[in-house]
Parts: sequence; C-alpha cells; structure tokens
Amino acid sequence: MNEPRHRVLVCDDEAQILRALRVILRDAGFDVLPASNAREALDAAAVKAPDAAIIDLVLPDGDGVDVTRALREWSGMTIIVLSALGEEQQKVRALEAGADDYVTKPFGPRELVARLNAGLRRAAPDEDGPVITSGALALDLAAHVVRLDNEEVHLTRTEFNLLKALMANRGRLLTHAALLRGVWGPAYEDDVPTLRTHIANLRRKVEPDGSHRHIRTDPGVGYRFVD
Amino acid sequence: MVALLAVVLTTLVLYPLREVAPAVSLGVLYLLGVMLVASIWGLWFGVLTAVAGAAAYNFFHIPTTGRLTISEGENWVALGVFFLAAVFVSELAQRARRRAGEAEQRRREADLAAEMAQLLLRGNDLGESLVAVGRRVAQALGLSSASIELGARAVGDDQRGFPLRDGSRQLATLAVSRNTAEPTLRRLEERVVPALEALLAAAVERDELLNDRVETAALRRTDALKTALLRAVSHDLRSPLTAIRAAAEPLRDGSLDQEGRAEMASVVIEEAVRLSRLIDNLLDLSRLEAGAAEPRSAPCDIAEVIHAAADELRLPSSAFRIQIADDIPEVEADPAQLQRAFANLFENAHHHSGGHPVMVRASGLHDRVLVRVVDRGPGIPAAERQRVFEPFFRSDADGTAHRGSGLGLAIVRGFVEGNGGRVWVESSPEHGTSFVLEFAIRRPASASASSGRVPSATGA
Repeated sequence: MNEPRHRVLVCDDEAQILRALRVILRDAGFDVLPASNAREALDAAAVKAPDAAIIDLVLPDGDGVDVTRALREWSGMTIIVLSALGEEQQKVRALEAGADDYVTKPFGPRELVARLNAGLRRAAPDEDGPVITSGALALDLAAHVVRLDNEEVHLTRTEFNLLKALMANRGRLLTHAALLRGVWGPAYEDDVPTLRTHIANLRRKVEPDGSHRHIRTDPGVGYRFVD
Repeated sequence: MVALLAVVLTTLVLYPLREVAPAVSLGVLYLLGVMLVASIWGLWFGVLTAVAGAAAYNFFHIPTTGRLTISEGENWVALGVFFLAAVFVSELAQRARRRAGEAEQRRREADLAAEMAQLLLRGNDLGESLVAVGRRVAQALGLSSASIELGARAVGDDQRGFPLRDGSRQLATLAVSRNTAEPTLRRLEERVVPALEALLAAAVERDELLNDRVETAALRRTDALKTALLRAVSHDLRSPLTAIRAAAEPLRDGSLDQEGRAEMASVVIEEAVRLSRLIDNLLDLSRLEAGAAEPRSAPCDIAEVIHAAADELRLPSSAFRIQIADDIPEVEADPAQLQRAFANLFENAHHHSGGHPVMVRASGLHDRVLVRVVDRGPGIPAAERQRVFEPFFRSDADGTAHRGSGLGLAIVRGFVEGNGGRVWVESSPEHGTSFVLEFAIRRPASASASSGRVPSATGA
C-alpha cells in the first residue's frame, strides 16, 4: 500500500476532542491539521489544501454551516460535520451547504474513520463505468435497466432515476431536498411525502426481503445507499 | 315666645299705618309674619303666630278697634288664611330643609366612596387598606368602631356583621358595634355596603391580577433556568463524554503506539474529572436554588481554604500568585463551602486570565476579611457585571471559547452569601477583573465587648 497519506482538517473548539481526534486519525493513516475555530479552519484549508475536513457545527466564532459553505465555494474536498442531538436543523443546513455526511456526538472513532474513507473514495476518480453494481444489484446506465440476481427489475422512470441518484452517491447521505431537486426538479424540493412513497416502492422492488440493507433511512434528514 | 314677638313687632309697625292704608291690606302684612315664622321655626310656631296674628289684627285694625270680636265672617276668614299659610309654608320649608339635608348626606357619602376607592385601589397591601377603610367608615358614620376583614368571618356578640359580596362569593366581612342606632345601620346597609362591595371586588381582582403577574414572572424565570439547564446539560455533559468515547475506543482496539495510548488515557482521565466537577457544580447549584445548602459553620482559617481551593484545581503553581496577610483573622463559615466557592472563582479567573497568573490577596480590615481575586483578562463590560452571577450566564465579551458551564460564579455567590459574606466584581477593560469577597471576622474571644457583632456562643 503506497497510497499518499490523506490530509484531514479537523475543527473543534473542544481541545480534548481535538487531541483525541489527532491521535485517532494519525493512527488511521491521516495527516491532521487541527483548528479550534472557524477562522483557523479557513486559513489552514486555504494554505494546506486538505483532502477532507471534519467540522464541528458549533464553533466559538461562527457556525460550521458557514465554514462548510465557504470551503465548498472553491473545493470538492470531503466534508463531514460533527453535530449533537438538538442540532438537526443545522445538520440539514450543513448537508444542503455541501457537507457529504455528518456524525453525531458522542461518536465512535471507527465510524468516523469509515465515513471519512467512504467520502474520500467517492472523491476519487469514478471507476463505475456504465454499470453500477452493489452485491446482487446492478444498475446499467446505458441500457437503462436494473437487474437483481441477473433478473431484470421493472422500475418506473422516476424510480430508476431515484435509484441512480442513490447508487451514484454510494455511502453518501442525500437530503430529502437534494433527492427531490435532482429527480423531480427544483419545484418539488419540499414534497417529502412523494419521495417517501417512491422510496417505499423502490425498496419493495430491489430489496424484496424487506431488509432495507442498501437503502438506509436517516430520519428527518434523507437517504443513503450502502453497499 | 317667637310667635308673640313677631306679632308684637308687626303690630308696632302697622299701628301707625292704620290711617293711611285700608285694614285688609294691612292684614296681608300679618300674613308675612306668619309665613316667616312658619318657614323658619316650623308648623307649631307658625300656627301659634297665625292665631296671635289674627287676634292682633282683629284687636287693632278691625272696626271696632280696641276689642276682640270674632263675630263677623271676615275675622274667621283672616284666621283661616293665616292658619293655612302657616301650615303650607312650614311644610314647604320642612321639605326644603329635608332636601338640603339629604344632599349634604349624599355629598358626604360620595366623599366617603371616593376616599374608600383611593384607599382600596391605590394601596399595595389590601389588608392594610381595609383597616384604613374601616376607620374611615366609622368616622363618616359616627360609629364607635368598624372593621373589615377578608373572607367570611364570624363576628363577636357585641358586633353586627355585614357580608361584603361579589355576586355569590363573599369577599370580606364588615363588623360594627351592635349598639349602633338603627337609622345609621340602615344607612350603612343601603348606601355604604353596596359601594364598598363594588370597590372591594375591583380591589380583590386587581390584587389577584398582580399576584398572577408576579407568579407568571417567577414561572418564566424558572422556565428560563430550566431551558438553560437543558442546554447546558446537553452541551457541557456531552463534550467531555464525546472526548472520552473518542479516546477510549482506540485504547480498547489496541492499535495505538505507546505515546498514543498515554495521550488517550490522559484525555479519558482529564475529561472524567471535568465531568465530575460539572456534576458537582450542578448538584451545588440545585441545592442552592432549593435552599438546601445549610452551611456547617465553624472557625475557619481563610488562608487554609484558599490554598486548598487552588490545589484542588491541579493547575501549575504558576497559575496563581497568592498573598495572605500573616495576621489574618479567622471567619465563622463552612470551610467546605468556602473552598467550593474559591475553587470556582479561581477556575473562572484562570480561564479568563489569558495565560497570566491570577493574583489572590487576602487581608483583615477592621472587623472584616477581604479577599481580592484579580485576573488580567479582557474585563467585564459594566452591563454584564451584575449578570455574571446568574446561573448559566456566559459573557460574549472576550470572544474566546468558553469552556465553563456558566455555573461557577452562581455557586460562588450562593456559598459566599450563604455564609454571611458578600461578593462583587470590579472590572475595567484595560485592567482585567477583580472579584472581591468580604466576610465578617469571627469574634475574637478576648475582645467580645468591643465587637458585639457575632453571637457570643462561638466557644474558643
């Protein structure tokens, strides 16, 4: 394994959390750029060009959402926000502002590292080609066909587009609004019940065992496709 | 007597005129006298004047003059006219006098009502106002006593009670002496009680609204405190927990090198200590808020307490510069509570001192002990100086991350005041912040006579 070490910006105002994350991420093979407030985070990001950022939503001199938006303006880096219970609104806003994912405090370090790696993989050059496969499920973009165990599954046009959006962003949490915008169009971005209905239909067809193993629900936030 | 005088006077005036005027028109002048007397002195004097006047008229002016003859019809007519005039005029005058009397009484009642309204609706304490109203009613009606008490009260045997109601609800009881004259009682019942009832209903309603408002304000404060508590608990308890969990998991997995393990272990320990301090503070505060932090007072060496509090924080010794006068007197306080207060105060000062040492100076001054804790932080704006002692208050002034929970200074004030001391803050943006604590010294056994402030049962 001769991969270059990824550089990760970590921004949290709690010194001890920062300290723990530095050790954990170093141990997981990352270079760590610590920052204790929004200004330091933006400065470090501009100078050191990290591959990913882990940003606490509540910072002493601002809001993790604003930092996310500022980073997104010029960078496609993987962004994971740290949120706490009771910060759901901010969490959704951060995802809308361009964050790839979030982790709820208190988080398990392994989960954080896994999310980080998933994000970095997505950011890597796309190797999917015309067919995206996940286990027994294959989505053929060129032929516009979905197969489960090599059996064709009949999907409506909307269901196909929905599955395509989810599988093309494997591992990533997509908000309700993002999915509605992408599949139905900007005018529909508040129509969560419609999305819920189509997700239910899609699950019946591609996960007939009712496991919800691939299409995961993040209550109140959105959906995520998991391999 | 009056009647006679009137008749004599009239006669004296008329006698010289008997030559120039006809007798009939002179009789009219007697009538004037009758009316005058009847209007002023009433019916009986009027009638008497009428009879005497008729007699005088007859004697002096009716031919044949000089003797009384009631034989002719016109004499009877004169007597009848005089008599009727007396009855009629006295009745009219009587009526006018009664009207005037009633008007005067109404005016007094209106005055009484206005004064009662002022007493009842302006006063702060309804009970006190009622005492004053009772006195005023007694004075206005000439009663020996009148008292009003809230609620339905039984009155004594020598008293008569009037319930004061608002609809079907009895608001209060008016009690007056039983041997009050019947008309006065009637007047009280018909004219004073209804006014009093209306005013009392308004006053009671006002009182209840005021109480509601006070209660609402208190509830809102409690509510704000609970919200702040929830927020503080959710944030302040979670931060150390997050660090502990993040540090503990890699320790279990065993992938870390020696250095990493040591670092994670110290994160776990330090955050556990922080968590337990936070829980101590929450418990202290809830005890203080509930009034359950009764100090266990004992002779207390302030120098010992200050050093113990500074040691408790486990900060480098350079964090504090402590100067305590050698001859500092003892104070009477709960040493454990004072240590909690000082530890919180020192921790707060250390957080805001920007890396500079915190100065702690203690000295005796007259019968007091003064402790000054000075940091070289950014200071506290004047507007926030009172609020820093409120639970969960966190200043935005210095713009740095506040790791404190906002409980420390509330605990400082709670324990200092609970032990009979005072704490206040002096601050300027250039020179940092100075918290000053003041305690009364423990009465020295040898100088009991000169001080006399502290109870003498302290024991040496």
